Amino acid sequence: MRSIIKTGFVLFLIFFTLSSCRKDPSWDVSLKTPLFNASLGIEDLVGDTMIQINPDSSVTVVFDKELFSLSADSIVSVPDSLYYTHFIIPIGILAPPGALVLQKTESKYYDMDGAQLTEMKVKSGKLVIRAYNYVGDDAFIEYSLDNSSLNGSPVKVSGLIPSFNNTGNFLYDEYDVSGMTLNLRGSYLHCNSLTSTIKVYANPYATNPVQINYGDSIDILVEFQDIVLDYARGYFGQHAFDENDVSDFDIFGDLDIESIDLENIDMSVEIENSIGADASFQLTHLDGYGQSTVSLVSNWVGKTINLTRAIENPPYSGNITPSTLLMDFSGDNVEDFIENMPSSLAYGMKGEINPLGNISSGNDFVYFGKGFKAIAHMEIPLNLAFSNLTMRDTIEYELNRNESYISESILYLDVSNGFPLSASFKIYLLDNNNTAIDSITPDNIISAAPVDGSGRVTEPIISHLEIYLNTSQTQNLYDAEKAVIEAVFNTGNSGQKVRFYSDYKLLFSVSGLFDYHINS
Amino acid sequence: MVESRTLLNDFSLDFYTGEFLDSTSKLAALNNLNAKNNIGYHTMNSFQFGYIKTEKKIGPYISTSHQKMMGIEFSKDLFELAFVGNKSFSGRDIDLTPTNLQLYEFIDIRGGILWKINDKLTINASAGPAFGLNYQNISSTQLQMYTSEITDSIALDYNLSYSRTPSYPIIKGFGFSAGIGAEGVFSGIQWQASVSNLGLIWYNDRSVNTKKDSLIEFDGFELNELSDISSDIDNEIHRIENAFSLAGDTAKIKCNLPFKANISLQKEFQAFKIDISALYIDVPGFIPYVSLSPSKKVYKSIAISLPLKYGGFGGFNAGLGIEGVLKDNIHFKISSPALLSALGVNKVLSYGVYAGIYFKFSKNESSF
Repeated sequence: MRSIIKTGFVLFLIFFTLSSCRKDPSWDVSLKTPLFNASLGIEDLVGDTMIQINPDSSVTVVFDKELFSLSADSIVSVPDSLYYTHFIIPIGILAPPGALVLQKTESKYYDMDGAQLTEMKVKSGKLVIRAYNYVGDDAFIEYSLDNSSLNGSPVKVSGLIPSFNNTGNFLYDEYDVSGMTLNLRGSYLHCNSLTSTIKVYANPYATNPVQINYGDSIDILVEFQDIVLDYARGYFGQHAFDENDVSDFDIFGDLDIESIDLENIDMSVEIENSIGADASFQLTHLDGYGQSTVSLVSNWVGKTINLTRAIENPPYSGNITPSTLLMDFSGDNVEDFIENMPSSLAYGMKGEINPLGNISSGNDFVYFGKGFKAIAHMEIPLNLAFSNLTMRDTIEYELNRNESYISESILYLDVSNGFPLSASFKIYLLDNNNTAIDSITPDNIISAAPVDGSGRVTEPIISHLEIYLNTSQTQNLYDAEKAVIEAVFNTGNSGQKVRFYSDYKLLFSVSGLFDYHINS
Repeated sequence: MVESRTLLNDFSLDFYTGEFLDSTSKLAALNNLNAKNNIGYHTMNSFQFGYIKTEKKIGPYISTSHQKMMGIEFSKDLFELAFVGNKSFSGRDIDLTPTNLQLYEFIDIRGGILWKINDKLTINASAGPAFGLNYQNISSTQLQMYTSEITDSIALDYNLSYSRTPSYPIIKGFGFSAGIGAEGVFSGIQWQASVSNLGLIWYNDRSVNTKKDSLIEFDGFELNELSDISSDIDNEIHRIENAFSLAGDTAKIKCNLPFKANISLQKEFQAFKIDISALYIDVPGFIPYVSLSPSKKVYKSIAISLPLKYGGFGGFNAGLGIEGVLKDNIHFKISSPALLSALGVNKVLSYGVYAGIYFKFSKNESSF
């Protein structure tokens, strides 16, 4: 709108500004212009990922929340330290350049807290080698993890170890082993074993034979770092867990609401076991922290439940069919639990993997991302009554008052409300110290659409609101740096429950009449 | 002369002196406007020299001038939109045409010949380079605006051409200018006639030249995503800014010089003298300017004139002038045909002064 005014005015301005040394004229214009319009449905108000449209177009809020999980890494541990040797030269020798000085193959068995693993695949991670050479010349080292396979070959790393005596340096190197598989059947126990071969050569780049003295030594350490398992197989042992935690429950978000009356709420917790091992567990408690603390009272709470292992078909395919159990809390004190409007949930879950021992003959399995988890699921039909639901939003803004500015204004809001909610709102203007310097209130409220006996809206209701900003308020609008919009919603006067449908719309159109002071 | 046929003098003075334009002043100005209005000015500083020896028929003729003129045509609705606002336009489709502006500033230096046909008729013809200092052109063939009754929509349908020269260097274009004229005596009436500013100027490639033919409608910022309001607003603002941007492409532009025609008649009677002249310049809002200026000697060689005028950028006006001989063949003339406006008798904008100095070698041998 200002552009149109300026386009017209520029014709006059050009004429008069051709002469210098003159003051700029000023005047006021009254500008009428549309500002905003919007069409808001239930998905805009609730968030479309949380709602479900029923066949009769009524709306149900669906909420899923993961309460508890056990991943592959928390069930199976990977050994960190692979190989360590402190080799002391037993006799002094004069070795030709590149001569093999030491070769050693070693199979090592790892204690894994009762687990007996036979296979493992690494999703990501690295192998780190660190070596100190206390001989008077450099040495060359080769390390191979014999029962590993990466791109069809055993993992083999090598490098030149500088003479620490001469340089003060040592060998440190990292190798990416993502995708590496390990066959852990190397020992006579056929599990938990890794075989390594180390070879040490005299400096291959030396021009003369290398003098190695009695008592010279070489220290070598090889280890895994940041290993994430892709899968593991074997017997996982009897692995107990006992988890107590509090997690956010943001279904009500930051809503400030005095009371809510709901009905027909479905609530359940689904247990999903994607591990190839049996599990026994117990939900010890589930408490909601809201207006007060409400504990879920149900036969499922405190009950020991056995869940069979997941099935992999065909074996070694990674095609997992989890074993599941649905703990349905319908009929329990779910309405009280939710009407308490919890902002967080406290839960306890304890249990054991393989409670009956190695009944799979070493064929337990676990894959990355497929562990043991408990997911809370709620379906809340939007058939409810509430009072004084308050929403606040803070908008930071910056209005620069130039030589041209708005002196007074009136905002006109035309609202077509298809929701069975009345709304009133107020805008607080805050300065840079977050102190309220003014408040702006419309002359009316947005009325609730009328409903029939079943709580369904019969027709939208039209409301006209005006917000008048006098000179002082307009000045405060320029001075403020934040605006807090506070809206209060109610579902009617009698406490009657109202039902929300997907075709409900809130249409609003905002226009303004501005007294605009122009200083050319 | 700076003039308008409808724009009030008081409003213009307040505007020019930087006063606050209150509602009374704006509404008075608005009420005096016609559907189609104008404002404009022109200044011309010129020097002409021509000389023919007594025994010759042809002599040299030189003319140089610095001319600056601007003409604006605007509608009453455009004035109201700019100074009052669009509140009263709710539910109306207003036509903002004509909206035209042309600004010229240039220098020409012409050389040619003065040809004495006989004792009663001398003609001149000249041509030479022209130097463009400034040029600006806004012209509209379509400019309509609609504000809906409930202000849920504003629409502007426009077809605009816009050209302007860059702000530097001082001389921004080059071209040529030509003119022809004649003067003589017929039945005791001395007369002069000329047409000039026949030419073109090509301005440099930093000039702006753009055309906009569009319909833009603003229905308010559409809030599609409550979580991303600023993005919706930014997109809409960019759309409007692009629609109104007159930055355009830069390119060489050429423009015709504003055609000018002039004729004057002079008749001396025993007690007084009458000058009648007419002028036309081809700029928006300029209509043929006609003046009648009787004068009478009041003291020795000093004469007082009473110039009456109609046309140009303004309407009827009258004023006073003085003319006479400074020394020997040096004549002077000063007049202002706009005193009625200055005195408040005439309410519309009109200011202007004419001043000239003439040097006459001898009658029929020189022309200035």
